Amino acid sequence: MSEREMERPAGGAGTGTDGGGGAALRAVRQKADDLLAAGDEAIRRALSSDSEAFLRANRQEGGQ
Amino acid sequence: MTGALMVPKVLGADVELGNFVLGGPVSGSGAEASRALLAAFAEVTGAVGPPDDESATRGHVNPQDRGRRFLPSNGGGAYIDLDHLELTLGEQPSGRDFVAAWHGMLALAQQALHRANEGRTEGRYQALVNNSDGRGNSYGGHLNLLVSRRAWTDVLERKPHLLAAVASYHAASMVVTGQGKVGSENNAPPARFELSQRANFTEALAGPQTTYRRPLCNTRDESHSVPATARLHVICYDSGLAPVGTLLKVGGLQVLMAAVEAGAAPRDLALEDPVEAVQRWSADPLFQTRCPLIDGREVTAVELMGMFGDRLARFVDTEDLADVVPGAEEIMAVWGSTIDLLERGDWSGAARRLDWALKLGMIERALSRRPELDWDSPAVKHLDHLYSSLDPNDGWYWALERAGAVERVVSPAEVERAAAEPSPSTRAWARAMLLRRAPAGTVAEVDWDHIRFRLGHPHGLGQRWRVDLPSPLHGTRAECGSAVAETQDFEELLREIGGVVEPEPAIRSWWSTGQSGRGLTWGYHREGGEYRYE
Repeated sequence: MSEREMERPAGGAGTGTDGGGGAALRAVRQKADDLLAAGDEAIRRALSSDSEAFLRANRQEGGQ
Repeated sequence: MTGALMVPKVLGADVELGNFVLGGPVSGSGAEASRALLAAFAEVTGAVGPPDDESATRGHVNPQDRGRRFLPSNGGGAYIDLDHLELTLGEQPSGRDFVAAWHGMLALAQQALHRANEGRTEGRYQALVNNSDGRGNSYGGHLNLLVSRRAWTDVLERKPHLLAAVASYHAASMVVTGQGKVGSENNAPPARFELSQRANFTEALAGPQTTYRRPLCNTRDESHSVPATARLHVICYDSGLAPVGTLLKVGGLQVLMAAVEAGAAPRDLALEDPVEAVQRWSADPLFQTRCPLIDGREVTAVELMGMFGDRLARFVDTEDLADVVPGAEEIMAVWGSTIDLLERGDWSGAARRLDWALKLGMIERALSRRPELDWDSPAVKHLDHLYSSLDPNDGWYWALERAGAVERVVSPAEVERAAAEPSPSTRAWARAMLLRRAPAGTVAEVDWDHIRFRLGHPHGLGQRWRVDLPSPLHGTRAECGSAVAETQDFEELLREIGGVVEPEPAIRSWWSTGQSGRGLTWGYHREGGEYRYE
């Protein structure tokens, strides 16, 4: 058994319980703020176009 | 050292893009877009192939494939598969080479998209580097890996514990291979965000099928190689854009299969139900969901991926893998540090490396700033799709990459070179050089393991030449470089690298009926469905 397997606590998921999950999501927003600011303009453009028309057009024919 | 036979883990890929016409008639939109994109792709890359869509009608090629074209630049190719433009990479020896080749091919596809849209006044072609349309239709980003025939047979036909371990690895690897998507589909339980685009479509443990009840372990056996080796065809991973995630996707698989060949696979790291784990883990981007291993332990996806990482890191430490998995130490180091980020819940660190984390972070950001939106809003699904838009003007992955928000694996110069040149270490090199040197209009057929040319003849009789490239490891620059450099005449080059003149198809057909004799077919005999020259 590796060190990682021995050290891992039985309930040790990194993000915790439901309450912890909420905290983790808040952390997503906080920590990633600067990183993700670079995408704001792209997001703004996307949200200013016709999303429903895009989704209607995007119907694929299946695939592998 | 185990002394076991380990085959160089040459990589390839065949990746279907989502494509449609935005702003035009919806019906038939995918068919129109895929054909326009392939035509533009051939135009901007000089890709060549047989005339008259011959590739769609040859008996040994899947009839759903159309218009197969190969690139004289890098030895990769493109074709249409079920109304998707499908990009295929030339053979790559390492994970880093794969990342460069993949982004190089995407750059070529971006040029094709731009060309296809030039001059359009109504509607425009849209291409997405993803794996589902959000309406229950999925299309694949398949990986190909050269493995020993023994390893292929052991995993897929003989040893269930190895099948279970490899399937469990595939399931856990979604934490690095997933692109992420908004919502679930294909009758999966409702979910706001799925780690994996393919998970909802992964419904079986193993099987040859690729269009329905898709398996974790695909058993399609088309080696395009010599009998001692086989192609592992992996269909359960997502198409990705993040370079680190791509490196881990292909490099992790290389190391795992090297361990299988060496008899060092972590065979006890097997899930009780890998298919169920895929479904449950994908719907939980917070990694709270535990699934049972066969020994009774319950693990999250990140934990299991960490366990695989620890075991395989020790394997890499004790084996000389320089010729089998180039860069294995780098792969394992990045693997370990990425799992550490996920275990610490460091999403900003993970977002620089992994597609799903980057996508989730941006969507969370959009939701926090636009209170009128929720997870069910069409605009949020629209955002999800545009993450992977090939168009650099609306694909927001590209915006983040340009801004330096994404960790690179290779430099832009390496990507540019990979778009323009084949790997010198695989048969992609010979393929590309032959296509570059072939006189216009002489390429009659191209496949991964052979090329046919129809050359003119001074007395008016054309000659059909065939060059076999049976192993991905041969046809390299080291082997063929002098022949390419020192010959002026194309026929001379063909002769130098082992090309042979074939009989015409009608004569071959007559020959295959079992007739004996010589005449025009001297020197040929049929063996195992192939014509050989003696």
